[in-house]
Amino acid sequence: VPKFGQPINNVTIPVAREATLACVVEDLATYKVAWLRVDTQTILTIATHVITKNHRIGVSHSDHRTWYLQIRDVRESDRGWYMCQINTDPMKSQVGYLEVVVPPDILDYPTSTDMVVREGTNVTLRCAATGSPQPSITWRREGGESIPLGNGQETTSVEGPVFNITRVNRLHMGAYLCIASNGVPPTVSKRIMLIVHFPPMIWIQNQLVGAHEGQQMTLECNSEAYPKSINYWTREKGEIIAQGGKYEPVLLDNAYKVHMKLTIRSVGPTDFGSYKCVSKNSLGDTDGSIKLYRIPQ
Amino acid sequence: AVIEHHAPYWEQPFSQPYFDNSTRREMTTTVGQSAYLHCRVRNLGDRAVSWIRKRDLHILTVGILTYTNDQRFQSLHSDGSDEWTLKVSSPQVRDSGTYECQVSTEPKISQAFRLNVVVSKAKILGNPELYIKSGSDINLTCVVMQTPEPPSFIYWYQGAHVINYSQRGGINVVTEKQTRTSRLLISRALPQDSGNYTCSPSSSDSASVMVHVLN
Repeated sequence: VPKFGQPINNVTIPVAREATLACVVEDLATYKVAWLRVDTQTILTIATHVITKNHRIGVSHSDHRTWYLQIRDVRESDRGWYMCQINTDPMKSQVGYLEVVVPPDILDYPTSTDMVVREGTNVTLRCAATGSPQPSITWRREGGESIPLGNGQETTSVEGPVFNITRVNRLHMGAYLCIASNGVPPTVSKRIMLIVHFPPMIWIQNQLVGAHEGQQMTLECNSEAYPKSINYWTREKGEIIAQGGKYEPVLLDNAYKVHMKLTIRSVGPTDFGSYKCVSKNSLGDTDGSIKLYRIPQ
Repeated sequence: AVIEHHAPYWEQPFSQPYFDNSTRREMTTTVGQSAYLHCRVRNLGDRAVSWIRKRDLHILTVGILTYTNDQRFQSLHSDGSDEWTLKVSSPQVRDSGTYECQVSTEPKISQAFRLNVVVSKAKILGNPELYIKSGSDINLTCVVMQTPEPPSFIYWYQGAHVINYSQRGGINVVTEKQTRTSRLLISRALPQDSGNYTCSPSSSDSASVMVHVLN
């Protein structure tokens, strides 16, 4: 009388590939091996015949001992228990599980698109992914920068599909990556820009600067603003200092930061007095004063 | 001239198989009495009709072939007919359950049939032990219980022997198949009529009463 040589090994396979379940039978003789799908109670194959009209199903054997059920172009709906049956009296059967895994995929909706928010408000970044097993979501900053947390601490990654930032500030501005992974390659990610708007702010290191007549002098201001600001220098009565001649304003900007320099090639008697550096954007404007005084020779 | 009008192929219905729902889906039979489950499939095409036992997913028949090695199961089908019958010979109570007629489409279509195999019992009305004065009549009524079909015959025994009507006068047996009853009347009973009387219908368990005829 035939008997099973070993249990059916469970199989894990990614979608669209071919899965093979193996049933080992000793001393089959004239008995027949059949494969069935347990959850739907469907007859698949008997001996070397495919009974079902599912064209993705195949059957083969080696030496009438190992009987292989082949499922081509595997789908998620193929996941489940499969039975190998021998028509002894009483009937013998054993089952094996086919696990179908799916690589992660990030959904356009409800995953966040690029975000534009005012500084000080709260913001939520969302990332939704499908896949099997259910993917886990990790947030990182592009370039590996750290993420400031509200309590003054920093971290390099945040877990979970919802990433809340309370009282967002300019240090949060930049590109974030939502990374979805479930152990089935490839892992996928989506880049989400977080743009933080705030009115200009000016910071001056030296507000009182002394110079000899004829000396070359440079005044410096630092401004921060987003959207990017317009920056310029004025004299006491508000007249704008144009480029050229003896004045040379230089702007060095980096993201939302601007470093303003005004170089006076040769300080003359009329150059002493107050200067203003001005920064303006759509959310407001601000200025800062620098006083240039004369140092007697 | 006759002009035949053919519908274009895209208007023709797909010839998917479907079941004829007019067959009986619930069957009751007694132990030992063959049962037939009738499955009718239209538009079968090149698909196969199989029978499986739902309890343990045991495949019984596929097309006209029998897969199970339990010889009591058999597929009955005549060429060209729509009917695929599962015959269960000498059914036992443990054969009770759901059987599925399955068509090998993708996805499969199926119809479930319920088979009940019951043990039919006879019952003799009145006390299990009777005391009758000599010269009175013995009047026994036997009813067959839990049988889906009327019994084809009912025998009466006295002791181990079938009652022989010619052996002694005054014996009358009236068996009514429709009401599944049989009445045995023995007129003017004598002490030698004492004994164990048994009512034994075909395909049912029998019932007995003890009769004492007193002087």
